[in-house]
Amino acid sequence: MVIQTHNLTKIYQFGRKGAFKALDNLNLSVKEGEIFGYLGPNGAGKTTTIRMMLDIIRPTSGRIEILGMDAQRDSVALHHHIGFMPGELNLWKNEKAINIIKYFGRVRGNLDMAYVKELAERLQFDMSKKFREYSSGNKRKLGLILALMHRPQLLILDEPTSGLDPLMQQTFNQLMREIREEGRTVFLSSHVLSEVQAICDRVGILRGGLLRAVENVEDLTHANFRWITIQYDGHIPDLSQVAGVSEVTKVNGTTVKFRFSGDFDPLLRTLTQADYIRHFKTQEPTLEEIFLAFYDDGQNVMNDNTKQEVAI
Amino acid sequence: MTGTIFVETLRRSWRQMIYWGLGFAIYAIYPFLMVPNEASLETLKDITDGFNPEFLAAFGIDSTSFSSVAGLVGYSFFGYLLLMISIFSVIAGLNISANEEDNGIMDMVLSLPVKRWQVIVEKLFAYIVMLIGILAIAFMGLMFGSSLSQIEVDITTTRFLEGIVNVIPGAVLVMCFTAFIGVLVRQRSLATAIAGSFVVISYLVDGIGRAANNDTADTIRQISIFAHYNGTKILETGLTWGTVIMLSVIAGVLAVGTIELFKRRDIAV
Ligand SMILES: Nc1ncnc2c1ncn2[C@@H]1O[C@H](COP(=O)(O)OP(=O)(O)O)[C@@H](O)[C@H]1O
Ligand SMILES: [Mg+2]
Repeated sequence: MVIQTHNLTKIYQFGRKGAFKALDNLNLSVKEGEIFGYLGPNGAGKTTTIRMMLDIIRPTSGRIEILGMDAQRDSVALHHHIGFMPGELNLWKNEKAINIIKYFGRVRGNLDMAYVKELAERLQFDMSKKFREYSSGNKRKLGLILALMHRPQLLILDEPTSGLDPLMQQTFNQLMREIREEGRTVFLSSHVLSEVQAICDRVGILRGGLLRAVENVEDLTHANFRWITIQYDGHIPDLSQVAGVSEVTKVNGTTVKFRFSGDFDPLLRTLTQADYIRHFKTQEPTLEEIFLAFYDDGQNVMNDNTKQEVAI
Repeated sequence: MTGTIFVETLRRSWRQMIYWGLGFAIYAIYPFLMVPNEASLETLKDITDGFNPEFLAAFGIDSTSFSSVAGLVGYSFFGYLLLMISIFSVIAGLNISANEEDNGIMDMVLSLPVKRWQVIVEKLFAYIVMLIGILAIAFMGLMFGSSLSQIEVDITTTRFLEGIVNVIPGAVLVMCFTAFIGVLVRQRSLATAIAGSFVVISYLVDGIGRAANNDTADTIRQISIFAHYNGTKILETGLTWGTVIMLSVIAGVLAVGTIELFKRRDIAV
């Protein structure tokens, strides 16, 4: 494992009274050579997790192992092998990007200017300006160069694609795939499922400080529920009692739509009681719907499969 | 790599060091120009003789202040040097800790292979070097000023140097105090307010204590770094090593406190 968290918990204290549990007993494994997406809405605890990985903040309990080292105790040795990009890049306003890049290179002790130039060219980034003169998109590019320039074993990127234009997003995805091909590992957070789906191998879904699920991206799209639309003539039996059926809506007098999971047998047997079935359509849920299903605190109709995953 | 933050801090700020140094050098030349000859020194003395001595004491002026070049430079340059250089010390102290944390830069700095203590220590050393640089330029101003003077300068170069060295412990103490407060409160604005108040109140406590001219006031005065600094009289008395060591030890304790606190706690967002 490249990253392994053990019962990682973070409680923020406000003064003497208030406390807020931002991360609750996280046990997460990230494998070597994968692109892992850490998915969750704002306030889920993604940044909290990432800042603990980098020893910027300390766990209330639990610990993190990265590349076989302890994230807190071995932070200096470890940081040689990590490239980090924060959600919002803040640096010295009056310093030129090139000076910041060189400074980071000197602190790390391995400045490869040829590679820096190559990265800047691919990202179409002009390094000669002062930090404050860059747009947010350009700051993001600088953040990427700073994270990539020492060819780290592990990249930890906090919402790296938010604010990137579509073309740059393509370049970014390409860079990440190349890194994976070299056997290096990427851990990135996002609150947009489609971004994660575009490049990640596996996804961990976080909400309210709890890890809800860890899935292969394909499994996330191969839903464990689907939408079924039936067009019929005459009478159709009541489907809401059938196992696996939920959210039945009569679209009009001849069309019914419902959510379905599990085996088809009970549904098909019931449907034989209908007068006449004109059309039968099954539809995979959209990614946003799956996303919502994971997020719904189990109130919504989740099939057993999903519930097991929640229990991970 | 060790030393990189130190070098980088100097690289970014050496120009400021020159500007500050030149400012203090001009300030050091000023008393020699203000009182170019014996006659003008007499005039000054006549003016001050007209005031209540207790009133003058609050400003650090006494009968010796204008009776010699040593008294004059002691009063008008060294008397205010620590107060003025404290402005630099507070700015430096903020740069050591609070600024980068308040600006959200510390996350990036700490994602590099550096220890937390290293960030504080290397910057602290860089700013101490700059402080010494500023004072070195100011010293050259003093030397140049005394070469311009038409009155016989009754001060040895060593004494001038002692006067300059005398300000270092207090200035470093203010720097470390500000850094410590920065690490404690994490906010630039609050840290500035507290460190600024510390300097100003210390200065006032010393001034009032001297003016009050009784034992109680004099005892209370001792809590002020300015009481121990004793700039006005430094050219006559020379360095008191006990004071230098005491102020340095306090500065050291504050520096260690800064590091230990910074090592232990979460970085603010
Ligand atoms: N320093 C802090 N003090 C108190 N609460 C915090 C702090 N940082 C984050 N939080 C809270 O913890 C929760 C998780 O925040 P965060 O990790 O930034 O979420 P995400 O990155 O997933 O949007 C949020 O509710 C946030 O308000
Ligand atoms: Mg975040």
